[in-house]
Amino acid sequence: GKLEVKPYDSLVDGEALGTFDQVSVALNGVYDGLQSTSYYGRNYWVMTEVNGDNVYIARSNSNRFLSSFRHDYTTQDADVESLWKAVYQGILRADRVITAVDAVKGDQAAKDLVKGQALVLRAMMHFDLVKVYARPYAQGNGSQLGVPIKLKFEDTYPQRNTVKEVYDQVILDLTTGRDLLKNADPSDKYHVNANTATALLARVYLQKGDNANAAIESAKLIGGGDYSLLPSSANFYNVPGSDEEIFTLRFVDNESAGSDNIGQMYLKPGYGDVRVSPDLYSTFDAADSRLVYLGKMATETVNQKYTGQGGVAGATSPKLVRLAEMYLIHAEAVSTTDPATALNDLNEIRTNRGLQPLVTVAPAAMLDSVLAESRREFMFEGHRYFDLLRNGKGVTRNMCGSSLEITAPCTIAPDAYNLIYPIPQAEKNVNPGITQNTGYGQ
Amino acid sequence: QSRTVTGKVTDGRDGSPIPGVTIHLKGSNVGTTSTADGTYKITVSENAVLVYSFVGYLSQELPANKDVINVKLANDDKQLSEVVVTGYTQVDRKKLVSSIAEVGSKQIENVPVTDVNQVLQGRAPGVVSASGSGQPGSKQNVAIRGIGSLNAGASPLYVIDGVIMNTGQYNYDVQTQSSDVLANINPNDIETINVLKDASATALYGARGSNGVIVINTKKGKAGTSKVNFKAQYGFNSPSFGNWKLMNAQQAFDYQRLLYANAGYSQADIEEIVPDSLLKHSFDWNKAAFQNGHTQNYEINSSGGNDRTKYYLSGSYFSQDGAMIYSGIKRYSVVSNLQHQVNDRIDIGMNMNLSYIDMDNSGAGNRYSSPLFGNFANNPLLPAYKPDGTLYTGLEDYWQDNSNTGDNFLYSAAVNKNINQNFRGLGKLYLNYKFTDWLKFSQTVAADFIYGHNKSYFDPTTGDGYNGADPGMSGDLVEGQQMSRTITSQTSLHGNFNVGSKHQFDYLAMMEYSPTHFEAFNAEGVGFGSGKIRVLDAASKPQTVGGSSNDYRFLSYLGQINYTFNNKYYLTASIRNDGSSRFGQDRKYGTFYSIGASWRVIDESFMKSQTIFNDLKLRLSYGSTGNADFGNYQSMQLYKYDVAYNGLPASRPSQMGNPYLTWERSNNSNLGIDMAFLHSRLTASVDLYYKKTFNMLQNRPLSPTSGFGSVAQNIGSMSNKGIEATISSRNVVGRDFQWSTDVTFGMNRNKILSLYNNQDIINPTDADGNGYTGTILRVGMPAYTWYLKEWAGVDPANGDPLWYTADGKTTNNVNLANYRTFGATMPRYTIGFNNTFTYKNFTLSAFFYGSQGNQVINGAARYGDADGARPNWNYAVMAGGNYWTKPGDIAARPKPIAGGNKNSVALSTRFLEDGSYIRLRNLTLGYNLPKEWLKAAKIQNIRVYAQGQNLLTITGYTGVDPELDFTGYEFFKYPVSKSVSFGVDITL
Repeated sequence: GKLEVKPYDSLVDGEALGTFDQVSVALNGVYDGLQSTSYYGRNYWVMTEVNGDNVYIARSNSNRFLSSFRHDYTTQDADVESLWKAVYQGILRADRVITAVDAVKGDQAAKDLVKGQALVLRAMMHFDLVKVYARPYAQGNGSQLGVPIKLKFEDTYPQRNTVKEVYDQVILDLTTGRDLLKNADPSDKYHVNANTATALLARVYLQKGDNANAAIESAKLIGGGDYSLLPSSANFYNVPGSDEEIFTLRFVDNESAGSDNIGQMYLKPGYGDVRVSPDLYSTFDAADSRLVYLGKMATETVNQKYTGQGGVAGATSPKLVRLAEMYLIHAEAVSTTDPATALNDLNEIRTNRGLQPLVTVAPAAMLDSVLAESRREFMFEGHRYFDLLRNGKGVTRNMCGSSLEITAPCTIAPDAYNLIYPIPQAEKNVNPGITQNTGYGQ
Repeated sequence: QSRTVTGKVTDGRDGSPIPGVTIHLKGSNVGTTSTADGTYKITVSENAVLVYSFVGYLSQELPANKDVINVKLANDDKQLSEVVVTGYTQVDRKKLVSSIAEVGSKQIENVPVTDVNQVLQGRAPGVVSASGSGQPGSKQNVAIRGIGSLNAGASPLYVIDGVIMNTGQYNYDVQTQSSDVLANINPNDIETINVLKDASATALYGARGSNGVIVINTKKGKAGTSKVNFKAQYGFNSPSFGNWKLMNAQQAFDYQRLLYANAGYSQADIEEIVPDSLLKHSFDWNKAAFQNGHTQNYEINSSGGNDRTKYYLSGSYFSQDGAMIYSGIKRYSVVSNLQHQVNDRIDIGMNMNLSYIDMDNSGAGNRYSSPLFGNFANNPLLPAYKPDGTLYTGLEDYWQDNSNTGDNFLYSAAVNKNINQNFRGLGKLYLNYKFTDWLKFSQTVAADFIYGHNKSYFDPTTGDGYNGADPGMSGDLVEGQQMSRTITSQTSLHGNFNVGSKHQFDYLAMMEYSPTHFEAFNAEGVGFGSGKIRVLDAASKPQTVGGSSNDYRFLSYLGQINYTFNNKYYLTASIRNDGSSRFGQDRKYGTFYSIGASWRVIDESFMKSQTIFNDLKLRLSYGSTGNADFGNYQSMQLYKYDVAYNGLPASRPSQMGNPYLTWERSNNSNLGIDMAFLHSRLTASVDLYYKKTFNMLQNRPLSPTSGFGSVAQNIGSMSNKGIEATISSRNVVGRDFQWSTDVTFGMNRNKILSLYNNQDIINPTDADGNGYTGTILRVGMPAYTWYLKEWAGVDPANGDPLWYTADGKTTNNVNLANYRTFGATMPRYTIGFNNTFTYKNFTLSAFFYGSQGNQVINGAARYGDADGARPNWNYAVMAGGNYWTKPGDIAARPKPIAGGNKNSVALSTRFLEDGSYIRLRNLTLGYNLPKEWLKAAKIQNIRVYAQGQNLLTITGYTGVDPELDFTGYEFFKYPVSKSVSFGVDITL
């Protein structure tokens, strides 16, 4: 009748997921979810850097990420809330694909590839949540509260699963996904494949403290031959798709978030609020080729990893998983059980980055050497904060009281309540089942 | 026995003849009208009483006891008309059963405002109008009888010349600025605005009338002498900052040093960060951001006609500078209203209103390049000019290192462009065919075309336009277009008939169909060779493109019958069946009805002997109305195709959907009494109402873990009850001197009756996307009650901020404080108070508006009075006083520390203030040149006047302006202007 109208930019649910082709389009939507400015489009990489000790926020700033730097989140913190929402929206997109793909007609092999990707991405999203909204795995051996696991669309008020339950689900999704992706093309860097699942498993096991499995998984890629370490170069982060990358979240040039992208948080002109800590700078050897990523501004050091992609200032395609991490995961995982192998792993990275190999490292110092290398290798890529959490360390900053930076705590103890994020008030307000993290009120 | 009475009707003030006056025999339908020279002739019977009435004049009743009766009619500045236009129909005022507030052209004309809603404030009781921004042309928020809905639209329905019109923003918005197509209407073209409030009045709009209806009637020609009016107006405006004051350079310097000292910096560091040399080239950013501007209005209109043909034509140009630099509005409009009686059976007519608006905006308060925010984000110790006297562009190293924003708005606002343009064409053609008095046929076709265009240009040399990675790709232009088309067709049968001499009936039966189609398109390009080239053709690299489209339709059938018994008892009943495309399958239609009655007590025989009342009427109505002002397609479970990955299309679940979605409904009761005393010199109308809204269209919040924010559902109920009163008094009615007083009063109490599982909804959002941050919807409390952590002052021991915990103790960790409810964002009482003094040809009127009991958050204070949270920004003067300095101090402000003191600026009752205020909205002094001077020049009238707007505001509120939209949260509000203007009206 006259009153039947349909939207122009949307399809009703059944049509949108009714065929294999439509489900494939919906899978692209899962990747799009990762691109949210609240997630890998910017905040997840900036907040977790600012949470740690690699960077500081300049005294003169645009008012961004101050609460992350100071660890003084209120429960209404906008960054904390928008991350939570963005990641759960991504999880919903993955859930819908996982459910729908089994019901549509199509070639089973092609369907496996779609389902496998959605499972791996869903695992990554749950993992990213549990790392920041829950205490580290070791602080309670997984029995502490994690985040709600969402495996299908439900209009419910879920309680928090334990950290162990979340890790178990993440590992299950990654292993199931990897099986389904066994025929995926490993040279496609812009979609997750079996290697991505393996790399993420290595990362998850390491974070969990399961070093044996972390070593097994990371070794598969070190010896796999699909990837190789590449020398540092000024444009490395401005061009996606190199041989070192296992999974890169590709932004095409015209979908940059403009002045709100990752690089603009570091660059001047740009917001340029986030500067490099002298502490980090001082750990570099003069021969280190990665110094190409550090620039000078008067007396300060600035990050030049993300100067711009395709002519767009500050734009980058985040290289979410690359081979160098596998060496360092392997080194960390075997640092106490097999220090000699750990040293070899470490030297693979060092020699590739223009440094002399280390000849001897006392076994007791091996872990610290690995972590120091990881800090240099993955600075501004959202690793350092989790390296500290996983190893039971707090955050220690050496620049306290400098007139260059805003005032912030010098140390956040490993057991400090504000080491991790609060559950967003927006969730608390709606969901009577959710429990707030200790120290953040009721 | 009958005889003939003749006479002449003249203006009581200047003696000029008045054509078109209705003269009728009291208690009958017999009557005539005066001719062009004011004369009349009427046949009367014995003991007859003649009633003389005309728009703009007070009616007079005289016994027909002479053969020649000459009458002088006194002006009625309130100008209540004899017939009340309710949109589809006209009602004789004395038959009115419902609650309708009328604002006449006298109150609208020449007030230098862009939006008719600004006129309603305080003139119509029960209407609360408030602006979110002082930008000329920005949206006004209007609520009739309280907040009518939570998640469906709470704004009234607007009807112009009988046709529902679109309102709201039609500009692609890259700056969160607001514009409203209502600003396209020239207020001077309006004859009356009727605000329909109760169910009986709004029932004809049943489906969509739940929030009240504002019926706008444009001016029409009248039979009689034709005339031409010229209007010219010129004025000056300046920004009004209320009690909000920023520090000057010396104050900021001292305070900033204190902040760093308290943060533990060494004296050497402080002298390096805040060197004495800064004072040498300080700059007053606040002064630079605002301007004194001009208002101009020029207009020609003509109206007139004869028995067969009537016309009203007008053309106008209006311009107003905004209070902020590089902002303002220009409006061009033409109106043509024609009516022609083809023959005894057919009349035909057309209304046409074309208008075009140019709005300049220098950016909304959330952008650093906006002077509104920038004047505060830039500290006065930051110079605007380089040592060589030219402006910093913002890209220089010095600026990049020392500013918080990287943007010198004084430079960028001049070269960036941010323009909204709105074209609107409103047209209506109607044809009436009269078979007999009891059967008439009407067909109306109306169109509302809106075209909105936005252009936002960022110059290559500014912070927002410069591209550091590829300087050749600097400069950024975003353009967006929006088009809306609504066609409304109304087909009706109507008529009137009598049964015997005491029973009069009239009726209306109508079908209305109204489809709307909407299209939008936007594109962005970068890489401009010159800042002077500002079209997309010149962009060397395209960026994103976007576009969307939607449809919604209404289909309605309605009927109304009015019954009059013995000219004392009136009864109105109506029923309406409405369908809307917005609702679920099988849930699209709703039926609404109303019944109303009135009783002219004064005409009863038992009233003949009393002398207290000159008029007494009781009105009673009850009925149901609906609300469909809700998002399109909300009933559907949807996947949206507005995303992409790796250059390939993508889709996302965008809406949970609810196939059971249907109309929101309200039941309304109204009891009214109209009274006149003291020979009708004192009149009063009082209305009591109770409205219950249920099956509310709500966006029920979902757990964010579901991946959706909310789902549309019909849940919950809410009530609004209140009292409205209008009192008019002609205090002095001498020949040379008159004084009249009009008071309007409104009081509304809102209460949430039920919600989903009766769960609180915290930080709700309404249909317009306004976020009610810090408020709660809770059963038993008014909607948008504040829900905040309670400020407990400052710890005398160490200067820490303190808040109350659940057990009544205090804490310096805001996360451990508990939430509690406080007052609400809506006013408890509003009052309009107008006095008009006339002495000979002089008229002076003063109109005050007051609002009491609304609680507001001064959000700007969270930045400006922030105990050092933003140490390099400017500070409110008040931040520099009464702060903690040493143990034992009982201070209002915590110890100020660079970087802030323990989240002391977290949202809490610290920033909650009483937003009550009284404002002198309008002060006008007018003078009519004596008629005898003008006669020789064949000029009918010349009026000169001076008027002031917003000249005085009395409030205890510490922010810029307590007149806020209903979110009750002020965040760097664009200040309203004070203005003074002078004008002349010439009638030929």
